[in-house]
Amino acid sequence: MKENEAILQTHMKDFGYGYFEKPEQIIPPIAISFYSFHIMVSFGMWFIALFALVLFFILKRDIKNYPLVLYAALWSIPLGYIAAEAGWIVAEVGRQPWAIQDLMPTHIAATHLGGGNVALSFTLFAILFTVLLIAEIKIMLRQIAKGFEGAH
Amino acid sequence: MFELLSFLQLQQLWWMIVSLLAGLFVFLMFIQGGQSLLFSLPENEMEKSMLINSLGRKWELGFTTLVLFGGALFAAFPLFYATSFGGAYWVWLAILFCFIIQAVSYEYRKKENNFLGQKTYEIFLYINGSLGVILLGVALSTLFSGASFHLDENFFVQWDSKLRGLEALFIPQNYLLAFALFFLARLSAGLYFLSNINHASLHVRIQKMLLKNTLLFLPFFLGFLAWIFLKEGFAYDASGIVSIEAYKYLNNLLALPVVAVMILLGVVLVLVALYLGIFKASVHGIKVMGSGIVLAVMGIFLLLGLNQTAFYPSITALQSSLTIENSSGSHYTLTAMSYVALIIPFVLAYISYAWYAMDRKDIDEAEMSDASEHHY
Repeated sequence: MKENEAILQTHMKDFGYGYFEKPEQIIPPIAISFYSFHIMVSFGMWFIALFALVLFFILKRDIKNYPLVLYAALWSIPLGYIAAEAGWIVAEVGRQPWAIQDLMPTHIAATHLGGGNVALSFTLFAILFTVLLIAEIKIMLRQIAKGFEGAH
Repeated sequence: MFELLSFLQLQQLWWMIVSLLAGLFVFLMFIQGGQSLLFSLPENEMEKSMLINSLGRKWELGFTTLVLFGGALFAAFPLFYATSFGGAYWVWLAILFCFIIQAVSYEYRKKENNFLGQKTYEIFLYINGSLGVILLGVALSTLFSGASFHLDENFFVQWDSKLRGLEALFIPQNYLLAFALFFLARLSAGLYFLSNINHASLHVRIQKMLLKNTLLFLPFFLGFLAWIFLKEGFAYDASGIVSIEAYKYLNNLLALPVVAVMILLGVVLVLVALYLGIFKASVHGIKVMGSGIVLAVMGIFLLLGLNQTAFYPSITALQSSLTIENSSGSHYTLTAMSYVALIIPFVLAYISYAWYAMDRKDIDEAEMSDASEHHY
């Protein structure tokens, strides 16, 4: 028993590798992590440049006279969300197959929950959040249409 | 400092912190209680708006405290998290849905072009305030009634009911706590409204509501106390073996006199607060109520986890039952968490400050009609 415990202690840091058959199984999906990371970083760089530009036009010029800059700012709004999502993909896909690095793989960490349960909860989340998204967008569009004058 | 404590002392410390947060959360459930009164208490749109705005100033405090309570419980006792969240999946998911719809409703209700209409968001608030509280009560009650799970040799949970937690709804005793919480939340809501809404005719109706809900609350609460003190509980010995013990929670009450005093004092304070509300329409009732609820709930939680008691018993595999000793994080984790928890008093101080800053002025009809004010 003591001997076994000593062996376990020595190899504890690599404990999770026991769950795998082949070395290839511990490689995360490369392409999706690679491109997500680059999308995230590119947009991050773009935002730094854009903010510098906007700051310059606010301090040194009257930004209202430069519609291109204003449109660039407007059309950059979705990029922030895309960058955030890409970042999550890097984090969550890039960590595969580990829930805890070297100790516990995700397929072991997952709850034993039937596919039907997962599908049903996914559907419920999708429906509820889609309905709330529609509400949010409609409210926002109305507020934007009203502009500053209509705000209280 | 904390690293000098023994493992067991740290586990007990964290159970106390979790119990305190549970007490704070149950007090802040007055927000849910208030939401459950939206269709019965106000007589017109103006009164309804005053109630919603009164609650709207505070709902985030309740939500954050729920997250803090759950977070502390799950971080300090991760095996409980792994067992209950993954296992009793549908009951937790149902609770989650009840809280998702709360978060948006305050903000969307009065907004133009809000897609679902004002009434729908008010119904969402009502669902959160009624079904949400009752489901939470049922889920918490399984800490006394037990749940259907067993842990395999790797401590992975196997849930023994196809209903995945919803089976708790078929244990009648679980409704004692569920409805006691529901009516308690309505009572604190009434006292809260008295404290910060300035409206004479509403006050009269609140007093009547308080009387009615007190009469509904007491049988469920006393029934819950009678149930837990007369039922058998789940004890464990020095080697971690779990066994059924008659009158376990009553024995705990007698073994921990400080806790017994806490619960007794808590109940007395709640009754005093109700007297102040029903007969005096006092603005101070809510403070007395809050102190009483925190003391009583914290005390009941302490009975559940201390004195060699399994706080999450398994009724299908007794030895899989969770105790503060077999489900906690490591000594290192609990020590680190204890240092982080030192900021809790500052957070509480901030919450109190924010509370008083928001309540500096009572809600009245004039404010509701003032377009320059922020309204929910």
